[in-house]
Amino acid sequence: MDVEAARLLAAGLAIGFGALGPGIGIGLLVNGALQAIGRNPETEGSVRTNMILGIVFAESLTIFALVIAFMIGFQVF
Amino acid sequence: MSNRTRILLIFGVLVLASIILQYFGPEATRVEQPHVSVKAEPVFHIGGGGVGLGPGDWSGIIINNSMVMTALVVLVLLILALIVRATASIYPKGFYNFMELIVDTLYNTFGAVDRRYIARFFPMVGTIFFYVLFSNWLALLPGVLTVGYYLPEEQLEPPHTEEARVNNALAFTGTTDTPLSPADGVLAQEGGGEGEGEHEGDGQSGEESTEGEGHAAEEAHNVLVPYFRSPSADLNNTIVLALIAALYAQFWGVRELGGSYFAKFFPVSEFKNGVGAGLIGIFVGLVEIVSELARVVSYAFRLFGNVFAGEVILLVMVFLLPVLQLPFLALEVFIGFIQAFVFAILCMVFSSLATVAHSHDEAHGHEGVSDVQHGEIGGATRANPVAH
Repeated sequence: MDVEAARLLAAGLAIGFGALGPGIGIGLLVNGALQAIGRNPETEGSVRTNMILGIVFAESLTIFALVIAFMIGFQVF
Repeated sequence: MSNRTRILLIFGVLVLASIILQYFGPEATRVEQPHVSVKAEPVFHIGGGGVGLGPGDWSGIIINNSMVMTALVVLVLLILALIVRATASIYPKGFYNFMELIVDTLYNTFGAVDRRYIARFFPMVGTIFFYVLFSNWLALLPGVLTVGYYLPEEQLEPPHTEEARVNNALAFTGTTDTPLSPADGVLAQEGGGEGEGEHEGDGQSGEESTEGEGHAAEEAHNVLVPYFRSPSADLNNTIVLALIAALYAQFWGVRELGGSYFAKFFPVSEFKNGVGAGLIGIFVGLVEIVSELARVVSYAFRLFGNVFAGEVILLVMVFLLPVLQLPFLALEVFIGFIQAFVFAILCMVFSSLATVAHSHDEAHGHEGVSDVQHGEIGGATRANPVAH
């Protein structure tokens, strides 16, 4: 395989697989949070804040994958 | 025809014209493909060959485009703060009322994390929020990343070898007619390098090849260096912010708990329960240290990754189809706010965690006290989302 082709493939795979897990995680997280709000609507404020925090922790994994994908794609190192 | 329809019509015609000119128009009306750089590029230099545009010979102080934007953000924040301060009154109205509403909402939202320390943490946390928010939002203004000057591509990087440095200095000062003795061979090498660059340039943009041979080689090397770039899209800025936020948490941990704060990292007292428990304690301490360090990395890369990815997506969408960037622009406004909020609230959460004693009994004691002190919502909302 060509080096250039391998590089593009690696960048695509990095962000593709990197988005897979956090995507599932965020889905589960919002599922739980919405059920909690549905059962107990007056806690919406604090549940929402914690939900956003959890989403951000899961999402930052995707962002790491994205940064790696950019680094591979733009030949940073 | 109403005013609104007329504006929409003019807008539509302009968009259509720009699309047609970009894809079907003559050469002169086409916009060249943008140059995406992960690093911030140099805009001007002070010292190291005078003061002027470009990196100079890399020996002076180099001002990057993200630093220019940082200065702009700080200036805007300063002016805002002075206006708010000048119009402050007991009976708020107008702009001051609006700002008070925002700060009050922010105070209560962050206060839900830790009621006891919010008054101490808010100056820091609120500053981080507004700084990150403005550096994210001002970067969405037209002109950022699109207005700039042209720089030969090889001058973007500081020269790594001594030969390249001499070569660069000669090229910069324009005294290539009287080269130093080691530079002779170097200049010949540069010619070879340009030949390679020309080959790559041809692969990227075929339109340059219609021009004269030598001219095309020089043109293909120039890249657009924007004057402005979002500070959050520069890893240096986000790492410094992350270090400040992390050290702030350590500072409050030490201030509130004194020397016993470090018992979290070096739990030597566990050895009194036996050697096994002591070894486990050492391991737990190591994990604590690593998690503190990982916080810095995750702070920095989260902000950098989000904002930089947003800029790249906007750029790609503009060149895919000009109108397609509008929904992404709205998304970027939202993401810019969320990232600023998250950075600030994480600083709040980690600082608040650092002030809580590590031992379980003591932690419960603290929470009991805070419940009693703050009554109704204190217990319900005092969340420890990243508990041990």
